[in-house]
Amino acid sequence: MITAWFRRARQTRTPVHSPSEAQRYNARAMLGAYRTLGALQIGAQLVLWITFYAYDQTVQTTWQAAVMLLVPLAALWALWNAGAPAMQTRAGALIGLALLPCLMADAAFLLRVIAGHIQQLIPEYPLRADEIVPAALCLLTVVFSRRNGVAYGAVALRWLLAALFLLSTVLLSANGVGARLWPFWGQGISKTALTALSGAGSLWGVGLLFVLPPCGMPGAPKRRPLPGDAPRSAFWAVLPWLAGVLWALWYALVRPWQSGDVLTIGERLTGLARHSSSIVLFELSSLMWLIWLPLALAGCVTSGDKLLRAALPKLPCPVASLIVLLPGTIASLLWPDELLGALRLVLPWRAALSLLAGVGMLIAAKRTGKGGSAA
Amino acid sequence: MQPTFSRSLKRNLELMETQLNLDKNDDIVTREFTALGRDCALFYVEGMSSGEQMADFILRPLLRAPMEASGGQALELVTRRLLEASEVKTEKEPHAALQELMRGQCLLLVDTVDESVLIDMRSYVRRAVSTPQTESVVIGPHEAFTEPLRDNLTLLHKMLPTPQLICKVREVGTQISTQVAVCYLDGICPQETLEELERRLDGAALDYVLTSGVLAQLIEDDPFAPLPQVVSSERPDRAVSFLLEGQAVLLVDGSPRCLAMPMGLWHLFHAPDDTYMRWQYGTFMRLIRAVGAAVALLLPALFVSMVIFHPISLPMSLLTNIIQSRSIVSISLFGEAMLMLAVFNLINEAGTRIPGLMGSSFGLVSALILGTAAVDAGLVSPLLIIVVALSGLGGYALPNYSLSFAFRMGQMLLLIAGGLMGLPGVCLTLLLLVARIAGMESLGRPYLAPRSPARPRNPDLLIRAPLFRQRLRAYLANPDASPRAQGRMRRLHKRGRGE
Repeated sequence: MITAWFRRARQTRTPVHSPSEAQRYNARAMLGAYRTLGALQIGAQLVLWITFYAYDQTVQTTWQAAVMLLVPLAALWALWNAGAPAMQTRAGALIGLALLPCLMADAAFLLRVIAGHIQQLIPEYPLRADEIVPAALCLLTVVFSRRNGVAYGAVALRWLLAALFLLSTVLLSANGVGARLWPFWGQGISKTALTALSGAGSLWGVGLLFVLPPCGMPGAPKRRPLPGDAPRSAFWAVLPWLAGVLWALWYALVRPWQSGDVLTIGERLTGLARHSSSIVLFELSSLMWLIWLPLALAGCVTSGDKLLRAALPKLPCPVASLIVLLPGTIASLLWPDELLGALRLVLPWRAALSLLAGVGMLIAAKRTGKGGSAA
Repeated sequence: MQPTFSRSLKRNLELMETQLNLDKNDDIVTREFTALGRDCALFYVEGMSSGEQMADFILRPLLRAPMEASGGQALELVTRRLLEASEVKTEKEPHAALQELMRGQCLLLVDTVDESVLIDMRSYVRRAVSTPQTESVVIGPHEAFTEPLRDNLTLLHKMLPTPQLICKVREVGTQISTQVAVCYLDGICPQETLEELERRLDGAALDYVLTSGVLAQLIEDDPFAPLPQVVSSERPDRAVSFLLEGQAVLLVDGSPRCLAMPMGLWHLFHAPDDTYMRWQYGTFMRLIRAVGAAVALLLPALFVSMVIFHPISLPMSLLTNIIQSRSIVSISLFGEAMLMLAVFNLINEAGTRIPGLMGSSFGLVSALILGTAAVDAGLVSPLLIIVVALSGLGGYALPNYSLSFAFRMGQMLLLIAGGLMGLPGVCLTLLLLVARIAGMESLGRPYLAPRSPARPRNPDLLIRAPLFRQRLRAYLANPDASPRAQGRMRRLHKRGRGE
């Protein structure tokens, strides 16, 4: 019986046996691709929040703050999951536009960090080129990738990124000291909880897992949520949170710098990798940032492009992409030193905006449901 | 041109004289004679029809026919009782009849009959079936397509003896038509694939489609994309594998390569050997190819960017070697790399164009002489020659000719990015290329499928799993089609059990 089971398990199966099943499968696959991209964007924001803001505040309790983020994550997920049916309506497409400021803030954050990382790798490069070239290449990436290129590219690169992420953390275990996790509550529960509250802004992207791809896009699922979709959307929401917890845990174990140290952007990004004894790990860590951050930036721009064109179909793709990318690029060019400090105040409000948009979706979904039942 | 032939032979002859430029054109032969009590005229293109067969099977039966007839009765007698040919058909429209005449058929006109009779007596010079030039294999068939469409269709029918194989011959070209056969397996190729393909063929509005390469450029999804969206092959066995996967295969008259759509990136990396060998060897070869592809695309760019912008990342011994080898070089590393790649591509192109006997030795001699001379002159370092040679070898490992060109161009682009902006430039440009390729489509199907986005698939992309695990049809096939094997594929009898 066991060998028979094994023989059956070896057989290649397909869940597709008819054209309608194929259509459903393909729509789910497209949804999965956009959720992969969304998860990469959420993960990038969370990890950068830990690197640039949280660790300095909480040091060894950073990972507890990351764990606490499960509460706002669950709340946002539940709200957007309940409001998902509104995505089929025109109202839903318009409410989705409320997420645009979050995308612009993300883009500004990512662009500044990418420029800082390039500045660290190539110090002699002119500062303006470090901003303009990544922004220009990101715009070209989104424009040339047609409809779904960025999302499908994210699926193609996800295992590479996962491997690089694990290498950048787990392979540093030799440098981690368990004793550094104590005292357990470090700076105090209230400070940890407050830091976690500011980090909730990194999780606003949970909404993207439900609004993309827009229902009117060719090949996209026509209705939301799909049957049996809740566990899948929950998985893509929890995965980046887990990555953030792992990252924060390693920061607490390795303690790459002391709180209060003045560091450049590049030094912060490579802080963990600098503690490895191998130059290869350092290079792999740099490579991870050079792939992850631009991909997340392209994700922000393409998400904004999709949301804008779902509400305003006649808007050309380059214009929609520029609307998302330009404010951050200008801010990064004009105020490179002050931008991160300003973002520290702005970024936490992304959660509030996502919450408001989620509530709007929920109301629109209830109205859609009532209208449907009345018919 | 008049819409149909006239019942008067005289008027038809005037029409033929005008349309065929008989006063200038010496290739068209006219044989006028009397048969069935009527004046007749036989037209053919010299060299395209067999004179002996025409005499035996057209002229002799008609000239010796004792009866007299006219109109429909004459047509009936000629087509059904007198002509001794395997393919005889009638055609009312002069335009269509003339096209068949120019393709080698014989055209018979009879007085009082308002239709022409087309008789297939084609016997022109054709190349024998030979071995493939660009897709050679160690294990597997060694036949390649030739130029005549009929011969290529015969090769397909020989390999796939099933009535499910449908070959629809149609014409493309707005002024001079070219015959194109759309081949597919009924029930396996999805109907929407065929409809979309027909729509694209209808939209190919060029005056004359010379070869399959021209047709591919007219029907592909995105002419500005970096990679081809139509896979071409000169091997009938590969065409058969495309058909079994649910793709449609196009054969163009006069072209020894078939086209298959839709396709994905993986089709460009697969070689026929992979399936003919055991799965371990096939997988090994594919991994070698993947490494070769990565080396071809990235090695020059990574080398230049690491040496110029990130020398600290290199091991000290390697860095010392590089510095020592470059100590006599007078130009920058970036310029050196661009120069070497340009020379390499030049040697490649020249070696392809040079006549056969000299071609193989030319590449070797020029590479050796140029390489040695360039090092002695202090233009390039020996290490960079190795880098360029390795990347060239990686490119040659790619089984698809178009893909190797795409990789050569991508290599230059990444080199420029690396030379200007180091590793960040290489990574950003690579991301742009990945997103661009991921966004491509072939006949509306995503280019990176079944990997991205996911599709049900056999484990046969990079790693080739054992054949008994490849039960499914490719995702390109009709979902209603049955799998390639029901149940276990290897139903070997156990020994000593009542045998």
